[in-house]
Amino acid sequence: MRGFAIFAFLVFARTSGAGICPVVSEIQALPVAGGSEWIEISNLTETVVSLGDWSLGDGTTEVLLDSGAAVPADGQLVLAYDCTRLREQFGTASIRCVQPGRWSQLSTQSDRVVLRDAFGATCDSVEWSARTWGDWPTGRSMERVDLHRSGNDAANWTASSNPNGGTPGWLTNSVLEPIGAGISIEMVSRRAATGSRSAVVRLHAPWNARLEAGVWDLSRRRMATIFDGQIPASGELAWDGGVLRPGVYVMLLEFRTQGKDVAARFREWVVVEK
Amino acid sequence: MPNASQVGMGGVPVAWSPEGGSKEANPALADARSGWFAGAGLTHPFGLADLDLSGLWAGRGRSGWVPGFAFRWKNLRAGNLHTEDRWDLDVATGDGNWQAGAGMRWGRAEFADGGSDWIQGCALGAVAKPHPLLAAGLSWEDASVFGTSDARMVQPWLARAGLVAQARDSSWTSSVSLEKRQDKSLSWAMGQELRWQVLRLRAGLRLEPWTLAIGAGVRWQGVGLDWAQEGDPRLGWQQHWTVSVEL
Repeated sequence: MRGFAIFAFLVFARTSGAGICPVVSEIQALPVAGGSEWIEISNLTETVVSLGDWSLGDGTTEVLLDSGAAVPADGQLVLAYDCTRLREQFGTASIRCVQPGRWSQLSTQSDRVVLRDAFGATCDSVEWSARTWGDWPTGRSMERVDLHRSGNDAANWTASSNPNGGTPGWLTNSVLEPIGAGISIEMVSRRAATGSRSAVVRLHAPWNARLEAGVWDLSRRRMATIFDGQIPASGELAWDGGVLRPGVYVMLLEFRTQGKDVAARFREWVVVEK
Repeated sequence: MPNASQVGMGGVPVAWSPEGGSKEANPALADARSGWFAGAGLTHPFGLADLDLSGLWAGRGRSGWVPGFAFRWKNLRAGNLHTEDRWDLDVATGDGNWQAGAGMRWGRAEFADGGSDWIQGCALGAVAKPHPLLAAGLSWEDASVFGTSDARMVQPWLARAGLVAQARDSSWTSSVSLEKRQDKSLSWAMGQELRWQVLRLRAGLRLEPWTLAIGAGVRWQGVGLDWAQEGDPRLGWQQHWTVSVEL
């Protein structure tokens, strides 16, 4: 019995990196048309983690992963419904991707991803719903902000700010904030000139916040609406002055996180040049 | 013009100039008072730091054959990215029942990229007093009528009309004014001033766009200090401070 325990510990240590499991680090449940659903797994150790006999499930169905699959040390592995489509979409064949034998379609309304090791122990699980995560941004993945924090905390996930809609196989720090984060802005540039230069505002706000931005002249007359929608994936608002005449204008930015109430309001001046 | 005694009444009265006023709404107001006058004002538009609007004005009412005149300088500074200066000179004459005036308008704007713009225009105006306690005024201004450096800098014409009623002992003054800019909708404002010894209290309302204003001032032996706050909850509030003297 004692010998078995030592053997089991050694196997566990070898497969899960001395007891530290890989974690689900990014999920794409609503790809663009023709794209593939995928789940990214990150290895937080300096040891390769073999996924032989590991399984992926949603709590009711379990799928064994490819016995040859492994997550590289300090690296990522992507589990996808269709690896070929995924690589085509992101224009690179270098994405380390594995297709499970069967794929249970992910739901944006309410779903769960459970990663179990070879012994059936839960290594990591992530559960989400539209109520806690908000409406899934079409064509954009959700990224785990802190890989060492719980995956079931909605405040630990944010929409990808990558222009491609996600970063399968590589880690990035999204410039967008998770739900519940505070709201602030930062003026990067106040100068705008039509077609050649943009006034830029860096937005620090929950990824699901809505932003309405407009421009007023100094007589308080509304001159233009420059943005109305979910905050840009880039986390920046850029405006080149449009058709306005040269001069000083005031930019008003209003953020709404839930409902119609304005959660935060900011005013900044900008100069439209010739 | 950051003039607290005017702003506190919701706008710029066209038929009357409050004490310490810069008289910018109507060139005819350059003759509204006798004696010398001067003032200076300051504000941060929208309450924003690094955005400064300041102004100076001086003039004299009609004296003998010399008509009344008023000079104003206004400066807008947006950090180190933009400066805009505006100079006005008004001349007016009349008697107790009417005044008529004309003015010149110059302006220059400079941008951080080295570009600049300038304007040259004029203004005309008149004030009539059909009753000792009632005044009506009209004015028209086009800051581009004599030319601009660039079509994009064109300032459209601006027409104003207004009525003012005042108590016999000047303890209260009510004003209503309309303003129409060439490519904008009609704007109107109403304001009220109450005087009690050295104290002045003012309130005003402007529509299109709508703003609220309140103000207060003290005036003693011709020297005045005025304050006004105007704005709206969405775009924010701005405070105006003015010092003025009338001899």
